[in-house]
Amino acid sequence: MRRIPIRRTSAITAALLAGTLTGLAACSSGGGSSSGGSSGAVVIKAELPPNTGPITAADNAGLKLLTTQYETAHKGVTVQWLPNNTASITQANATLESQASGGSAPDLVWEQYGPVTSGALPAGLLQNIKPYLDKPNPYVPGNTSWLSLFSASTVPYMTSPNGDIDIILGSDVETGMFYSKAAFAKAGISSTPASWADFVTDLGKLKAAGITPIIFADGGLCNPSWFERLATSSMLASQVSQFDVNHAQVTNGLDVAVGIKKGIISMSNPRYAEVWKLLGQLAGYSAKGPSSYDACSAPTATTPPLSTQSMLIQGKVGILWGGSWYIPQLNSAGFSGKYGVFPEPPITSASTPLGTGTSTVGVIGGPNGNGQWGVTSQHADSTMTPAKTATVMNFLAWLFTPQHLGYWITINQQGADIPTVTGAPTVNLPGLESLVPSGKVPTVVDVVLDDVLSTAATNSGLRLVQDYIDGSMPYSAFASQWQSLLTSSAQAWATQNHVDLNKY
Amino acid sequence: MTSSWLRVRYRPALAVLLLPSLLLIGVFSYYPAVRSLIGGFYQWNGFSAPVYAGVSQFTQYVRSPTFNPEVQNLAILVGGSILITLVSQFTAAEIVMHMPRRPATVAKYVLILPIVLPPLVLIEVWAYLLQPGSGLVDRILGAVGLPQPTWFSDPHLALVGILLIGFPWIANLGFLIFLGGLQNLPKEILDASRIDGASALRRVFAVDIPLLLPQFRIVVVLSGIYAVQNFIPILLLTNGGPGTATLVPGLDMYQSAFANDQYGYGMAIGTLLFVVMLVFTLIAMRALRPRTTRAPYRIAPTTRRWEPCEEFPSEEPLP
Repeated sequence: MRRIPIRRTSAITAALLAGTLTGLAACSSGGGSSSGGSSGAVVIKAELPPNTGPITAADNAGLKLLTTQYETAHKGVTVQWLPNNTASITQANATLESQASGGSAPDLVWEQYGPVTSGALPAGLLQNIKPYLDKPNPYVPGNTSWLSLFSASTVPYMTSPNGDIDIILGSDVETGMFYSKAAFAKAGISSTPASWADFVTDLGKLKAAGITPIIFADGGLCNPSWFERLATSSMLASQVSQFDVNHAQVTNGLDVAVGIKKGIISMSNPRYAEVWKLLGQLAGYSAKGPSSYDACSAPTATTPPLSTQSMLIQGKVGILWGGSWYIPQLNSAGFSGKYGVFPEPPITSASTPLGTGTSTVGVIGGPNGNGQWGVTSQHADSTMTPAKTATVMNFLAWLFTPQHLGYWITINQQGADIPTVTGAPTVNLPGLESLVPSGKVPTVVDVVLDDVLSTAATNSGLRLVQDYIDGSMPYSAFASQWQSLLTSSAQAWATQNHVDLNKY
Repeated sequence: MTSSWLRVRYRPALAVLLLPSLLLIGVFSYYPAVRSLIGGFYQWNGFSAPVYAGVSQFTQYVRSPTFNPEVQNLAILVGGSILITLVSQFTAAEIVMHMPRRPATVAKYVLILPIVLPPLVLIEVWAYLLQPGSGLVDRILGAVGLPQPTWFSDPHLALVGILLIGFPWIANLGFLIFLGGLQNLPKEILDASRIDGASALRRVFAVDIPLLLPQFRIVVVLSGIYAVQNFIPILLLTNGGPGTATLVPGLDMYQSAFANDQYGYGMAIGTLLFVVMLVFTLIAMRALRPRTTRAPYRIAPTTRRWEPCEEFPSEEPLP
């Protein structure tokens, strides 16, 4: 799932900061005894969460305080936070790989689990931190292993197919449909849809009422990749076991390559083909004009793809497909109380005879919020010795205690992100609860649009989806080219990763 | 004698003075260019060791499904840019040239002043102007009852939207080149054309344009190369989309290298682009080569076309 978190400062930040300062000071006094194996002066170079400004910015106040406390308790350790003005994970990784090729990457780098666990990021760039996670977190009394502090649903997202853990994940985001209450009232819609078929019916009602029903923003990857994940996970729910080789929460490159090789992820498989027919149906209700927008763009973006939120606020559209970070953004724009939100409804047999009805709540969301870091290898970062790795992990352990993680994530995201560590304090934002899965999330099937096979395949796939949605390409041509993309990308993935797909 | 003595004496010193510049140009311009030429033959993700790939990346690009749309889009952009540049900037230069002196000076400054605007700002401004529905252009079209196009979202209009950026396209180097050329035209020829009763339009096509061929040549080459290289508006406004509607080789090169981690593939595209630009430049230089140099002209009595005098054969340049 694509998402670059958006930062906005508000009064809540200051209030939360002031309210928790005292408590944190108390917390810090207890955990400072561990040196984390460091000896001598160590300078940790760490990347801040994207687009949060420098460490002195209000959004980073929580991190700054915790860092200061850590440095005070660990003489000789200095943390240099580096601003991260990255527009996308692909851009971030391009920069990282360029730095790493010269051995000058930072010690702690911002990452997303998609490229890390799928193999899109070159092997050997990040370290396997599982040995540290298997040991207790020195700052949390009584825990048997640091890993046990994470919610059960988070660990599979951190785990690579070979069992290594190359990324630590700090918070979840969720997605859902944000609607204008005024538009729903005008269209005579009294309740939120319970199924995808109801959803499409409501889109028809909005259209009949003269309201642009929805913006399926395909200018960026957010909405397209969300749809692929949602519909594919649902439609292939009964077949996923045939290609889910690694049995992880989210399919990775190997799973998808095997699925393509077996003809399950194939346009000739009616279930998989139905995914794209459903998208064609949705496109009929989407505003054509603003399709160059990206659902994840900042509301204050000045260059298209612009944010779609202003169109919802101005009453130009009935529904936006957005994420939990929309809640504080819409509220701060004065739209509080004028919008509602509901989770993506399940695709049932009412939409297509092949519909499985699998719950899709939580399928798109996941630990893609903040606090996502990888520790670079010595190949990528010439200063990274085993002793320094231990210090970096010790610092991470400090940031990832339940109290600390909840504290700085709340300030950083105004409550829109949910910490991945059990027992972390959260802010109960109205509307957020409905987007959080209450039960087990089914296996998430990512195929093309999430860097699973390669970034090149993702970018090519997005272009095909754009052509299809915009009506430049009929379904038959799209199906042919999509199949070609699947086949060539799977082959390229297998070659690059030295995998013989015939074994599966 | 003195000058040749100076040349002999100072030549080594001049060469030494040039060394820093040559060194810097070599390191920062030629070395990367040569590395890029070589890099096209290697697969490299920017981190792992490069793997020799022969010409496979060149053929892969030519056979890729986006190659044809990219070439088509590039041809439209280059052709459109050259046409726009020649027409708008030459026309503006002609008008300014033949205005009374004081208004001409004012017009010259007013027309060229926007050149100081940073290109990114210009792109942002046009992003707002062409915003679907709410942009100024769509508002004006809507006010007069015309359809409001979705400029950057419509596959058939996205390239037009890109070409529209900078309208009326005058504030550019080409305008100054044309204006400078017109100001330096031989006065006696212009006087002769006036005495012979040539209309303004006739003078433009029979005198100004033929005599300004060197300027046209440089403007065509510069605007052509600029159109090939300048994918920044596309990157910012459409990212090559929707679909492949605005995808061009330059953007593909950039995305392959810096988004897809296919540095070798990106360098292969860059090498092909270099070859295309070289061929284009050679063709343009050849096609727009002046046939004469400062040959005196007269108007033939029957056709009233400007022709070289017999005593100065057109094929022979003046000493």
